[in-house]
Amino acid sequence: MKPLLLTISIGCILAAVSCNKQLQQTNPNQQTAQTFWTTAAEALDAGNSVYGSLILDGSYMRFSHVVLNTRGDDATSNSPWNEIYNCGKFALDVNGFAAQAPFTAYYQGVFRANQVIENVPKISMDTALRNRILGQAYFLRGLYFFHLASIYRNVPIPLTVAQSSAGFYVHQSPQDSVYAQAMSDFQTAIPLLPVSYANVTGPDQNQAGRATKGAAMAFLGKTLLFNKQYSQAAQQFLGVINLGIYSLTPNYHDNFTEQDENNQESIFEVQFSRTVGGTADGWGPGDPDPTWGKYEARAVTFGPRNFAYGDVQPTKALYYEFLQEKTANDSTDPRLYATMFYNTNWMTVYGQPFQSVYGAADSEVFCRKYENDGFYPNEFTPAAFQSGINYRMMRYADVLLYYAECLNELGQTSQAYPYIQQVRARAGLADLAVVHPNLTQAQMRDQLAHERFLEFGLEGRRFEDIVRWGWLQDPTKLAWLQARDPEFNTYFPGREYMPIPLAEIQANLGVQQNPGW
Amino acid sequence: MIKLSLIPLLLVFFALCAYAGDSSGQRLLDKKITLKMSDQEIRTVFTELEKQCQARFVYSPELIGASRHVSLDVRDKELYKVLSELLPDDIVYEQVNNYIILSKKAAARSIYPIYVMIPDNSPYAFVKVGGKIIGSSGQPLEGVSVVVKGTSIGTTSDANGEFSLNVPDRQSILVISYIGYEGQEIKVGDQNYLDITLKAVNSTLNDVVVVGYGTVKKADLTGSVGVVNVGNVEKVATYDVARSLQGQVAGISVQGSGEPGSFVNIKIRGISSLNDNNPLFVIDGVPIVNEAPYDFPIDDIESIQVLKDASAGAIYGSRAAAGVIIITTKKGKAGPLKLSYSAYLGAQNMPKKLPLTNRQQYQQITDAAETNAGLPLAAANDPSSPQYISNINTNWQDAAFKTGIIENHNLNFSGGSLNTSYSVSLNYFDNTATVRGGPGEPSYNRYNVNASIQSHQGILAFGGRFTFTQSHKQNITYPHLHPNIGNEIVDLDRAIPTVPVYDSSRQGGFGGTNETTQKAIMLNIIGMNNLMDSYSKRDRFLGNSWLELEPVKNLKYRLNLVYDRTETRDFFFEPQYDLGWYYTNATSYLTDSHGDQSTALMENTLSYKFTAGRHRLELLAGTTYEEDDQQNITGLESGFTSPYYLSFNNGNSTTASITSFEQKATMDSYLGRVNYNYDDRYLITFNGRRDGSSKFSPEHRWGNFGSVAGAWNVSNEKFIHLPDVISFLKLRGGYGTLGNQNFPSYYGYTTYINNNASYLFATGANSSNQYLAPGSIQTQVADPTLKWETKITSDVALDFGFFNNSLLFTAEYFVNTDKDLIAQPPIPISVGATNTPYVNAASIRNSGFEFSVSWKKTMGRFNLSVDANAHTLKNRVLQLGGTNDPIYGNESKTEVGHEVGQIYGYVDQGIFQSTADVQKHAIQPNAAPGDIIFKDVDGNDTINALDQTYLGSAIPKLYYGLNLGLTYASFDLTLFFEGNAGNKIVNGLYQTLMAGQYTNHYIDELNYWTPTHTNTNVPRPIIGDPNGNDGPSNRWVQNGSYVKWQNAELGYTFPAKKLHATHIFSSARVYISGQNLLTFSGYKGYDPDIASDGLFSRGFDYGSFPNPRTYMFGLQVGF
Repeated sequence: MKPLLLTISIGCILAAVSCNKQLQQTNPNQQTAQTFWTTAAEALDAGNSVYGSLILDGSYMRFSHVVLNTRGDDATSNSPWNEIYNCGKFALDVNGFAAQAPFTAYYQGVFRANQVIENVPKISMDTALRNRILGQAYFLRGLYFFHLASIYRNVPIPLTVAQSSAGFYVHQSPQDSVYAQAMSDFQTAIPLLPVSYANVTGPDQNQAGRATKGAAMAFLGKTLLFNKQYSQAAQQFLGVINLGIYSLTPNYHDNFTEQDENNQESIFEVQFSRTVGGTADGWGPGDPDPTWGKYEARAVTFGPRNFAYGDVQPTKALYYEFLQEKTANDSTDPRLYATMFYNTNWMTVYGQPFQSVYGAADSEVFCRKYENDGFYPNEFTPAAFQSGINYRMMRYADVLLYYAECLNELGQTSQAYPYIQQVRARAGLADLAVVHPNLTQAQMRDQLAHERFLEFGLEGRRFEDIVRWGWLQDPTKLAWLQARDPEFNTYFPGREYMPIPLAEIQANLGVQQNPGW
Repeated sequence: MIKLSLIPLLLVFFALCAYAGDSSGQRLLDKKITLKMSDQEIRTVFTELEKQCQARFVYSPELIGASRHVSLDVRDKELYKVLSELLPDDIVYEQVNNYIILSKKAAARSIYPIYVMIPDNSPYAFVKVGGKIIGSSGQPLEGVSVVVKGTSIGTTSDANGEFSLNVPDRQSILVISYIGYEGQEIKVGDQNYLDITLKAVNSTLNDVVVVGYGTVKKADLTGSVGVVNVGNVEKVATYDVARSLQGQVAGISVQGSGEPGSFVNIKIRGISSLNDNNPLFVIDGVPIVNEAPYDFPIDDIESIQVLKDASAGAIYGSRAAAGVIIITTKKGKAGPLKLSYSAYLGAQNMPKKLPLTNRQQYQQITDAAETNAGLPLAAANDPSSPQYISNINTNWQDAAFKTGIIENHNLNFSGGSLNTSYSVSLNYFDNTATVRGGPGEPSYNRYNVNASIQSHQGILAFGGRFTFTQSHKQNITYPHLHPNIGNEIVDLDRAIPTVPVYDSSRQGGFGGTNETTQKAIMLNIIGMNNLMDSYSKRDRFLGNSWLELEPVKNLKYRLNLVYDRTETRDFFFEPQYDLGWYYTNATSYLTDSHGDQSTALMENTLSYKFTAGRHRLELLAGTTYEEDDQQNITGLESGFTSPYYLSFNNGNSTTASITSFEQKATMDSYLGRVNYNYDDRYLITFNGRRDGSSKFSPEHRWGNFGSVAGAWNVSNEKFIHLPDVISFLKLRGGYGTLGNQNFPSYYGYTTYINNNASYLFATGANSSNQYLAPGSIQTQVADPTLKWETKITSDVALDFGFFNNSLLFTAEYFVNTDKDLIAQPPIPISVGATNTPYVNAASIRNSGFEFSVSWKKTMGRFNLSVDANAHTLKNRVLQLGGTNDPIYGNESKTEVGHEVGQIYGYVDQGIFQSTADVQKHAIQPNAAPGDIIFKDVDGNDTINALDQTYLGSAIPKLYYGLNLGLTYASFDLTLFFEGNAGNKIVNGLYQTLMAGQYTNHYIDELNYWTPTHTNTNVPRPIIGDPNGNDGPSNRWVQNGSYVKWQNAELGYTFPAKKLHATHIFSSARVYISGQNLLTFSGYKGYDPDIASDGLFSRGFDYGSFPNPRTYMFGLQVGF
C-alpha cells in the first residue's frame, strides 16, 4: 500500500497549494483611490486634473466651439459632417456626437471637482494652498454647471462622489437650480482665490491659467446677468474692474493668437499648446493617458477651406455688419480682418492671395479668429487637429460690455457709454457719446447688441445673447434672424437648448428630454 | 508551497521522463533465482529458469545460439541479472504477461514495434493462424489490428487484408479492431485460416464520449452532450475550429465574418452572458482560457464533444457557464511509423456585389440632395461647372474585390511501442483576402507544430502535449485619427464613382476627394490597404504534462499541469499620404505593442470506481488552481520620413512615448463528482464545487455550485417491452447551477487614481510659455458589491435508437436562467466617469428545443448517411440591474420582458406628399414634403425619441443543419446545408447607402421622391437629413432568415491494391469541394450570416466582411 499512501500524501500537499492568499491580487499599475488624498502634492495634482476636462473634444478642444458658435447668426456650417452641419440648424440627432460630447466633458469635470471638494479638506497641509486648490475646484465646478445650464437647460446636479452603483442615478433639476448651484460655487470660490498667482507662496507660484478671484467674480457676474439679477451682476463686474489689474490689449487680434496668451485682457483662458504633453490627440472622453497631447482642434475645424476643414464659416450678416461703421479715420473696422478672411484684392490666406485660391468672384467668407494664419502654411501642418491657441473664455472686454449692459438694464443708460467706448476706442471707432448720444434704454440695448456682435463675433457669445435676450420668442426678432441666417428657418421652440443626450435619458430614469426635442 | 513558475520546468521534466521511459519488465525479471548447472545447452537452462519463475521464454534459437553450452551458479539473484550473464549484450528482454521475449536490441529499443510477434522458429508449440479481413462491400481492409486477447501478441493486416500470427494455443481469442468498424472477438479453435468480414459502424451509441475529467459511453450519458461528426467538420476549409462547428450540433449557433483570421461568435443555447458567450474549449483535457480554437489546426482533431448543460459542464466550473467544447486530438497508436500528408488549395471570391450607383446616377442623387437643402451644387457634380467630372466612373467593388487563395498543408508522423506512443504534426495554413491591397491587405497565415507523447508503465502513466503556433494576421486598418466606423466594406461601398483609384498627383499615388469640388468624405480603401501596414503576430506555446498513478486498481490520482503562453506583437504604421481632403496624413505614425499573456493551471484529481453486482459507482474529487498573467508595452513615435525605416531610432524622438501595463488573476476551486449506475438502467450524476476568484472583493470571492442529473435506460428494463423497431430508449434530465466570472476586468471592484489627467499652465502673466501640470484623479467608478453570476440550467431529453440503432433520434428541451449577469450596462453620463463599471446587471432566461437525427444505411456498395439537427431558441430578460433600466444598442433595446438586443426604432408610415400632410401629422420638426412620416407611437402629437418601438427579433427562432453523405465504391460525396429562420437584421450598410448624402448610393435611392415622382417609399435626398429619414426605423429592418448550401465535397479513394504496388503510398484520397455555394435569402446586404457584437446590437450589420465562396482541391495520402 506504499504507493497509495504516497498518492494520498501528494494529493494532500497539492490540495494545500490552492490557498486563499493567492486570491488577493493587487493592481501593480495604479494607486487605489483609498490610499490617495494624503499629501499636499496629491491635493495639488488632483486640483490640476479638474482643469483637464476643459480641453477635451467635447469641451474647448473642439465641440464646445461648434455648439456655441454654429447656432448664432454670426456663424454657419456647410460641413459634410451632420453633427456640425445640423447643429446651427437646430436639427441635431439626439443621440449624436454633438449632443453628447460637451455634456460628457462637463460632467467629467464635475466628477473631478467633487472629489477635490470632498477630500482635500481632510488633508493636513498649508491652509493657504488648500484654500487656493479648493477655490479653483469650486470655480471650475461652477463653470461646468454654468455650461450645463446655459447649453442643456435641465440637468442633474451631482455634488458627491458615487461610492457604488446605487449612487449613479442623480435626478434632473430645473435650469434655475443648476444656475443657482453655479452661482453658489463661484461665490464660495471668490474668497478662497488669489487675485493673481504672481506672489503666492507655494508650488503654484507665478502660474498663469489658474482661476483667480477676478475670474470667479466675472463668471458670477455673468451667471447673475443671465438670470437678470442686474444689480448683483453689476456689483461683481465693477469689482473686477476695480481690481485694477486688467486692461484691453492695444491690438485686438492679440486675443486670438498663440503669441500673446495670458495677456492683460485675459480674465480666464483655457490653455493649449503644440509642444507640451504627448503627441496623440487627447480627444477624450476616455481615460487620459500620457500620449494625450494638449492641442485644440478648433483651428482646423473652423479654418478656411483648402487650408482647414471649413466646417464652420462666418455669416455674411456678420461681414456686412462690420461695414456699417467706419473707424474715426475712415477705414474698415480692424476687427473684421481679425475675425474673418473676405474677398478683397489685398487679402491673403495663409500667405496665398485670396482671389487666386477662391476666384475673384467668390464672395464666401472664412474664419480667421483663432486660426494660425500668418504662422503656419495651413492648419494641417505640422499635423491636423494640433493648434496651440489658448481660448479666452473671459476677456476684460466681456466685463466692460456686461457691466455696461447691467447699467443700461438698471436704468443708468448714460453711465454705460464710457465702458462701451473703451471697447470701441480700441477698434478706432468714434466716441459713441458723439455718434449716438442720448440713446434710450431700448436703443441702447440694440446698440449693445451691435457692439457685442462685432466685438465677440465667432467667440461663442452671440447665441448666448440671443437666448437670454429672448429674441427667439419674439416673432419680429426671429424673422430678422432668419433673414440674416437661414439656419434659423429650422428653429423650433425649445431647441435653443441642446437635446440632453439620449444615452443619458436611457441610462437615467430620473432625466427627461428637454421640451422641443 | 509550489510556485507556479515551476510549471514550465516540471513540464520539461515530464517530457524528458517520457522519452527516457524504457520498457524492461519488472516483476518476473526481478524474481530471485537459485540455480546451479554446468555445461548444459542454453535451451535446457532456459527450461529450468522457466520452471523457477513460472514464465515462458519466447525467442528465436538462432538469436541466442540455443545449442551452445553454458555453466551457471547463482544464488538469490534477480532473473535479469542471470539473463545478462547468459546472453550477449545486444539481446534485450521484455516481459509481456507471462512471456519473456528475447530480441535483438535494435528492434526492441525502438519505440516503433507494435505487437509482440512469436517467431516461427520458437521452440514451443505455438499455433499458426492466418486469415483475410474484408469490409462488408468485399474490399480488403488494411491495417486492421489483430491481437490475442489478454496479451500483446498481435499483428496488423496487409494491403490485401491478410495476416498471419503465431498464437499460444487454440483457446486463444483474437480481438479484431479497426476504426470505423465494429470490433469482433474470434476464438481460434480448430481453424487455421479465418475469413473475417467487418461491419462498418452504423451506430454511435457505443462510442466513448469524453466528458470533463473522464469518459463515458454515449449510452450512459446523463447530461446534455452533443457529439460532432469530425468527418463533416474537416470538410470546412477554415483556420478556426469554432467556425467549422456552424450547423453541426443542435444548440450551437455561430456568427462570423469572412475577414481572414477574424474571430467568430459562438453560442451554446443562446446568450448566457453579457460579456463572453464563447464556450470553454478543452483540448485533450486542457482548458484553454485564451482565445482557444483560433490557434489549432482542424486536421489534428480526433473528436469533438459539446457539453451543453450544468451537469455535463459542472466539472469545469466557472469557465463552463457558456458551455464546453471538448476536443481530443489524434494520438499516436502503437505500430510502425506512419506518415500522412493532407493538403488543400482553394480560390475564394466574393459571392455577391451590391448594386450601387454609377457616376451619372451618383451625381443625379447628390445634386438633388444639395438642391433640396438649398445648397449650390458641388462643382464636380455640376454639369455647368468647368470642374464637372464626366470622365471618371470607378466601380469600387470591381476595383477592390479579387480572388483570395486559401491553402492548408498538414504532415503527421505517428507511431509507438507497447507502452509509449507519439504523434507529431506540422501544419501550415495561408489565406489571403478577397479584397485588394498592399501591406494592409487582410490575410492570415499560421504555422503549427503539435507533438504528443504518452507512456504507461505499471501503476504510472504520464504524457505530454506541446503545441507551438506562430500566426500572422494582416489586419484591416484605418488611419489612427479616424477610427473605423464599420469595416472596410462600408467605406468601400460609400466611395464615390467620380474618384479614380490611382492618382499620381497625390502623395502616395491614390485617388481621393477634393474638398472644394466633390465635398464627399470618403476613404479610398485600396489606397489605404496599400499605404498602411498593420499586423498582429502571435507566438503561442501550449504545453501540458500529466501524470497518473493507479496504486490500486481503479483508484487513480492524476496531476495535470498546463502552461499556455501567447506572445503578441501588434504593429501599426501610417506613412505620410494624401487620400483626399479629409484623409491626409502629414505626420507618419508608428505604434508597436508587445505583450504576452499566460495561463498556468494545476489540476489534482483523485478518482475511484468500483462495481459490485449491478451497482457501478464512480467518484471524483479534485482541486484546481489557475493563474492568469498579462503584460503589454506599447511604443509610439511619429515623424518618420520617406524612405521609411521603421525603427524607433528614425522618427522624431520628441514625439516618442511608451505605455505599459500588467495584471494578474487567480482562481482556486474544489470539485467533486459522483456517478452511480444501477444495472445500466438507472444512472445518476451529482456534481459539487466551490470556486474562489481574485476578481471579486474578499466578501464576494467564493461561490458554491452544484448539479444533479439522471437517466433511465428504458430499453434495458425487462418489464417494458418496446416495439421491435425501438432498439434503444433513454429518458434523461438534469438541473444545476454554475458560476461565472468570465469578464475581462481583473480588478473591477476597486477604484484607482489616473496620473495622466494633466493640464498645462503658463509661466506667469503675459506668457505663451506653458508647461505640463501633473494631474491625478479618480476617473472611473467601480461597484464593490460585484459578485459571481450564476447560471441555472435544467433540461429533459429522450434518446431513441431505431432499427438496431441505425437511426438515432434525440429530442431535448432546456431552460437556462442566468442570474446576476456581470455586464457593463451604460451608466448615466452625469456620473462623470470615463468607464462603465462591471455590475451584476441582469437576469436572462433562454429556452428551446433541440432535435438531432442520425441515420446510416448500406445498400450494396452504396453507403448513405444523414445527420440533421435543429434547435429553437427563446430569450427573455427577467431583470436588469437594480432599476430595470433598459439597455440600448445600435437600433436595439434590451428590456425586461423582451429579448436581449431586440430591434428598436421609428415606424415609417410613408411619405409626406404636401405641406398640408406635414401639418396634419403630429409635430415632426423640420419635416417637409418628400420626408418620411414617422408614426406617433405614444400619441402625444409630437415625434421624438419616445416614438420608437420594437421592430422585430434579432435572434433566430430556429437554427438547423443537414449533412448528407453518400459513398459508392471508391467515391464519396458530402453535402451540407445550414440556416436559420425567424430573425430580422438591421441592415446598417443599406442604411448608410440610402442616406442620400455626399457618399455613394444603393441603386434603390434612384427611386427618390420628387414632387412629380410621388409613388415611392424612398424619401427625398437632402443634405443634412433634417427630418432624420436615415434614422433608426423599420426601413432598414430586413428578413435575416436564410438557407445556405454551405459545402459540397466529392472525393475519390484510390484502391489499396494499386497503391500498394507503388511501395510508397498506403492510402490516398483526392477531393474537390466548394463552400458557401449558394445562399437563399431575401437579405439586401452581402450575407445574412453577419458578425456583430452578438449582444445588445446582435442584429446590426454594419458592413460585416462577407463570407467568401471557396472552391478547392484537396488530397490526403498516407505513406
